[in-house]
Amino acid sequence: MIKKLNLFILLIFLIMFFYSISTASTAAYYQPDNYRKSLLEIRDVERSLNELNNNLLKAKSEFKIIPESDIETRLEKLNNLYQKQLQAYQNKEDQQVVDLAKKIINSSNQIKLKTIESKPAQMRGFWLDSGTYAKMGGRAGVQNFLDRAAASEFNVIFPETFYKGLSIIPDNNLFTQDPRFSSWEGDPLEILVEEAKKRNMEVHPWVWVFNENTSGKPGRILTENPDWANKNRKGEIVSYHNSSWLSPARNDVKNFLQRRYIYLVQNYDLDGINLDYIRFPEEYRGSFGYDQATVDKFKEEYNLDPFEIESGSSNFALWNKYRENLITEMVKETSEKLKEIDPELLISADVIPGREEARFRALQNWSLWLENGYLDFVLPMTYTENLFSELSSWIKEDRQLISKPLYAGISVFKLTSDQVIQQIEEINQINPNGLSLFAAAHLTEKDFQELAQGVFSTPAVLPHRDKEKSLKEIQDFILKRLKIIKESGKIENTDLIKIRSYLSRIIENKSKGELNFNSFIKNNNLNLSTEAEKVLKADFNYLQAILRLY
Amino acid sequence: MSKKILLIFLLTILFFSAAVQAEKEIEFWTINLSPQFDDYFLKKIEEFENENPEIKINWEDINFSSINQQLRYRIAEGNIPEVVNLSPQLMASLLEEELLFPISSLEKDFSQYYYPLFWENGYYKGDFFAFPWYVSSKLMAFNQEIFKIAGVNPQNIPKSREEFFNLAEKITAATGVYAIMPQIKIQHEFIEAGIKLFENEDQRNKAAFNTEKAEAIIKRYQNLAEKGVIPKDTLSSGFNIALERYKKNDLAILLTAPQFLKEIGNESDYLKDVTALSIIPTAEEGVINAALMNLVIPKGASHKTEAAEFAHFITSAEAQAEFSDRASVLPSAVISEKENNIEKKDIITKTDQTKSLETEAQKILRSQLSRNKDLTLIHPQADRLIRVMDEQFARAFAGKISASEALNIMEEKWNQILAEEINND
Repeated sequence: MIKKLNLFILLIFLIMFFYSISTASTAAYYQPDNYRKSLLEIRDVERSLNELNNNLLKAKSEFKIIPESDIETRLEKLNNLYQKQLQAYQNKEDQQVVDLAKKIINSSNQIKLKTIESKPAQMRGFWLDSGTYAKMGGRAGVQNFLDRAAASEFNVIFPETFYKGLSIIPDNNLFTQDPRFSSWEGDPLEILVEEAKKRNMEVHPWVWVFNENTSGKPGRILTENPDWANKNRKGEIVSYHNSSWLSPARNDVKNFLQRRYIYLVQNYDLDGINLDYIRFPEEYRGSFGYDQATVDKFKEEYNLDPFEIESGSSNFALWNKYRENLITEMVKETSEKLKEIDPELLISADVIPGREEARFRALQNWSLWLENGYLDFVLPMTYTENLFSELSSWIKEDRQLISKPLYAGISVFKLTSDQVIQQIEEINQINPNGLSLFAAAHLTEKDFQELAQGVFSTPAVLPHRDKEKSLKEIQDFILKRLKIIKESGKIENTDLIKIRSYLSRIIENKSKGELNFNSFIKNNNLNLSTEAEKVLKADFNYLQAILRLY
Repeated sequence: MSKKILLIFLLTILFFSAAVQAEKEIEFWTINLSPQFDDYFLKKIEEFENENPEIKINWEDINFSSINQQLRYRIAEGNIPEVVNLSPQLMASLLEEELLFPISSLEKDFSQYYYPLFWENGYYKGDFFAFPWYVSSKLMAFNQEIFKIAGVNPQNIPKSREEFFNLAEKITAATGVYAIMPQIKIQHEFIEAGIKLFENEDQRNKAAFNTEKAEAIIKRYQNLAEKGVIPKDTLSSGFNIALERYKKNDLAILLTAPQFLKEIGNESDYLKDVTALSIIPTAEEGVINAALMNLVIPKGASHKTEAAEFAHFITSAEAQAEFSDRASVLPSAVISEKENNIEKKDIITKTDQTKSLETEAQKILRSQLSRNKDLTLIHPQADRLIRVMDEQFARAFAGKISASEALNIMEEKWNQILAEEINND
């Protein structure tokens, strides 16, 4: 009897032994002994948990500042639920398998968001399109909307304020209010400014400049003033994006626009003005600019007829330069006039990405505007579905060459929630000082929630408002990073001390020249792992950007 | 004085050595193959130059989207590359304008080295214009686990198209998962089913596809879409969507070119393990579509004989065997046992499982090479003709019109376009 029992125990032991070997050596997924439809639910769960695990491993290997222990506790719970799901499958409780799948995948998706790091100092803006704005209906709606935006730690709003000859503000001798706002009690812009202030958010009204309509026919401004139109060679006024444009060569056009911007700055407590469409229509090397005023002025200055200039000739280059200057003039004048009223006002423009590309495509020389101080920052409209390509290389290159900040524009309208977050992560790698989302109309409840879970989970200081505090926050951020690297044993104590004191020296002196982390590593013979070095370099670049750009 | 002699001496040497070394320069254009295959091409070029010291090869890699324009520009300029990589589609307009050189007019007969159907792809008005090069065709990757859930034996893949569709129906009915998401080109379906597009292949002035057989094909697709066996967005979605669905178990069978198997292998151990491969069951025992790349010689090129030698060298069985091994494409040249590396790779190592899916795919696809043909429609109005077919098939597929209505409209519009073409002549 005892012998039999021994044999039995041995047998059990052997089975367990082989079982453990087989599970260890085969892949980590469930091996069923029968096949039912609900098995697919188990596969969905495995895929989701796999992805979460991979994200977490990657975040750890990059020493990301994330709530790691919280994530691990919750992951552990999910793994238990997964075991429970397998049990349910074996017991043929298919409904239970389905229910558990839903539950696990939902929370796994939530936790995944937490594996993304949030930056401590950056502009986080969005454009508030007039349609979304109008739908808020009044103060209560604005409060509601801004609460959501504030929970996702946004810090700048670009509300569409003057567009197609209409405005969001009530009628007066300069403005005609968009009828969609007629039922509002009070001035929509005033309400927004007040409510934004309470939530520590800046307001930079977004105003259209030379584009005046987008429906293939003259809008309000051109209907009243047909002479103001910009034209192509054939005398047509509608460009291929179906939009109609004003001539930048006319003083009456410039005055008309500038008076309206001035009114806004004089009458509201604004943090900035955001100029849009301050360029020629986006067609290769300006097929526009053949209206009477633009042509006459050129003839007068250069004694050449633009209609007779061959493309590719040196005179054509002159013609391009001249038209580019017309836009530059407008930026310069507008900036001077507005800054005279409010020297603190931040003036920005939405621009074609790539400083050379913008000149080539729309005669928009925005890098010059920044260098000459006409603008305080630009927002290149890097609208794309796939993660970047040349757009990201333009941002990388331009931000190095220009001594003022640029903030990438992200096209929410082209993307799923996941892709929006992916793109923000990408931008955080190459331009951590900021970005803006286009536009509120496409930001869903889910988007706001998901941003708040991870990539915008902590408040961010606005570098252009408070450089000092931004530097301090980034210092703390780097100290946290060092601590994580230390805890994973990837840095020696002496090196750690050296980096810390180097960091505090930089913060105390605020000197741009001193910051060269690469040579610091070399000169001090630091012995860092490749990953640690890469991450720290990026952090110090971030710090350097704040020192250099603000 | 002695200095002067020395100088003359040196100049003479320089002159002669230059003349001896680079007597004939051949400019060779490929499409989108650099830098990925730099090693391969540089090695091959060196090999060729060593064997033919009087010839120098200048290799350039050009973008697919701009090669046509660049070539036309260079032809207009008179500075013409000698050997150019083109697809049948890219060749079409150049053939009509008589800008390519008929290689069948050369003394040497190259036809024997290639599978006949590929060689015939280069036929135009009585002559042959292309050295067939690499080929890509599709196979099916399928999730054996989903088959098992549906109660279907994954070892037992049917051979005929109709049995295959029945199986697909069964899978969707049992699992709720889309069975297939084909990138349907209805004109290819017709040709593969043995339906003629034109009444007379030489004159091509009248459509001939409006048949009961064609109607049955369209009806079957309508029926599969209705039942959710094929997703409704299959015509508007690209291959990437199909691949994503396959990765997420939302699609049981993926019709794919071999190079994407790598992504499946990298997705997860699970997917790598449950994926099996097979040829795609065909409509008939006739031709199967495959995308072909050719090498051609422009009419105005210099050194045509040498250019042909080089084009033949690059498309030779030996060179193609090596290239197809590296690039996950198929050879158009008939490869003898000796050059066939694939068969030697039967031993699959655990560490390189993803490569083994690709190797397996090569083996499967090579078995049907003799039936492969590039079915690209070559016609001056090809774009318009195909658009008509795509539009009407899409309407029928969405259930907006019946199969016979679609065919009637296709036929009517084809005949209109073909008549215009003749009037223009």
